[in-house]
Amino acid sequence: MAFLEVRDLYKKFGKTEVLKGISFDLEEGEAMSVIGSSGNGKTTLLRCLNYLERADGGTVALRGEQIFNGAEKRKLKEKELRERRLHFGLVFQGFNLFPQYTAFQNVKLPLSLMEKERVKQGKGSLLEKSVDETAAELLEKFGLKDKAKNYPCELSGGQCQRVAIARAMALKPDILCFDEPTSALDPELTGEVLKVIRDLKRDSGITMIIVTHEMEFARGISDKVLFMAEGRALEYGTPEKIFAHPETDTARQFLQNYFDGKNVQEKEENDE
Amino acid sequence: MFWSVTLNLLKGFGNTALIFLVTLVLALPLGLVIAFGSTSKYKVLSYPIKVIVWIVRGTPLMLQVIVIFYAPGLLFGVKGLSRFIAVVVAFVINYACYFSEIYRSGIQSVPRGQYEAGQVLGMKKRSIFFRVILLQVIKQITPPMGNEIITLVKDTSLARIIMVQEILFVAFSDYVAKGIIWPLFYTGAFYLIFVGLLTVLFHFLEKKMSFYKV
Repeated sequence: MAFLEVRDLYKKFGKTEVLKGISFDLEEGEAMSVIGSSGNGKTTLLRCLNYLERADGGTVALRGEQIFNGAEKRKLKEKELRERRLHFGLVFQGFNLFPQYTAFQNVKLPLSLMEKERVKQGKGSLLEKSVDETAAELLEKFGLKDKAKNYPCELSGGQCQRVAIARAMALKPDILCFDEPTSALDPELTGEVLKVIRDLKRDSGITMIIVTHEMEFARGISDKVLFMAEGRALEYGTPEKIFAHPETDTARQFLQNYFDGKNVQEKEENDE
Repeated sequence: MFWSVTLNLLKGFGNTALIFLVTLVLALPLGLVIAFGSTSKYKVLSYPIKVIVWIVRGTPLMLQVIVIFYAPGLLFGVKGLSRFIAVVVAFVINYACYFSEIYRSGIQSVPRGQYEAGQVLGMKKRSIFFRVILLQVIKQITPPMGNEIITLVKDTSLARIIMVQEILFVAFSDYVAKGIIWPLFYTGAFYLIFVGLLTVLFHFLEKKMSFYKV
């Protein structure tokens, strides 16, 4: 039994089938990259795992406990939905920080709401320290100590992203998802972001699912790579296997186009 | 002369201010209800409301005042509303429809991602609305609301058409009819001061919410 088991996840919007049965296993502490061209269902996969979309079929199990079953058609109560959602954290492509709150308040708000609810239900705190201290510590951990009182509009893209990561990590999700972490940022920030995620993996050991277009990064950080094409998980395995020995023509073509494009780009840059 | 005119006009302005206040207090919440109705996913609800909003915004407020005051008596032979109530009813319906469109655009201006961020952070629907969305909506709608509310100040003069004694009516009936013209121009000062105060108030509110940008 794997930590996370996704089986035959299926989703359609109207008549368009976006996910045509995605299955994979992920072990605790592993990082998985999801790669493939745009419009092949990568983001939808993340959204289904986070219950932002409800998949039409398939199952998701975490530590052997089923947390999603597509055959179950009843409408979930808000409370159930919220509890299940908390297994996953999501760092959005555009971060979606709350603009009227400071960095500190952004991290604190969901955390304090969750704490209040737990105390009310008599479940006891998940925190070792107060909400304020926990939020402050998280910001410090992500190098944002002196930005705590700044509003998102006063922060750079990279800083906003770190606030978003801190905000998601505050709730201690089992799995943290990133939706194209580099695409909303200036290219020169790519390195910084990738370093943040790499450090996060090393320091917290959290299980991660990352939708990305950065192949070198995917190769460097991932334990598993999922290659998606036309709503299917065409290839799944170690980065070594996917990048060095792709089995399908589609994957081979995709990777070749990617690296050819990269080389041309670099050549042009060198010529300048 | 000047002081007696001032006092007399001030009495008329009392009615002007009353129409303004009652309209505002009732139309602001009603507009929100209409906004929720017109954006409802139930078409049996949203379509009729959209038609009503279209009619109300598509015909002159003066005509609406006249219809609400005279129609019950002329068409059905029943005793209609009092003059003041008829004006307030017409104004509330009219302004609620305009406000509803402002609310609607304000609510729709908050990106989907703000709701989704709240959802993935395990927040309740209520908390998402009150802690995340509401202030963003208020910030967004304050300038157009200010505009609309300033228009309302001046629209109160339409009440004159059914002889409600607001300030312009007083100026006409007490002075212009007797050949004294300057009190009519003097009414402008009352409107200007009132609108000036509102302008300052809305400027203050906008400033108060400018601590963040989207």
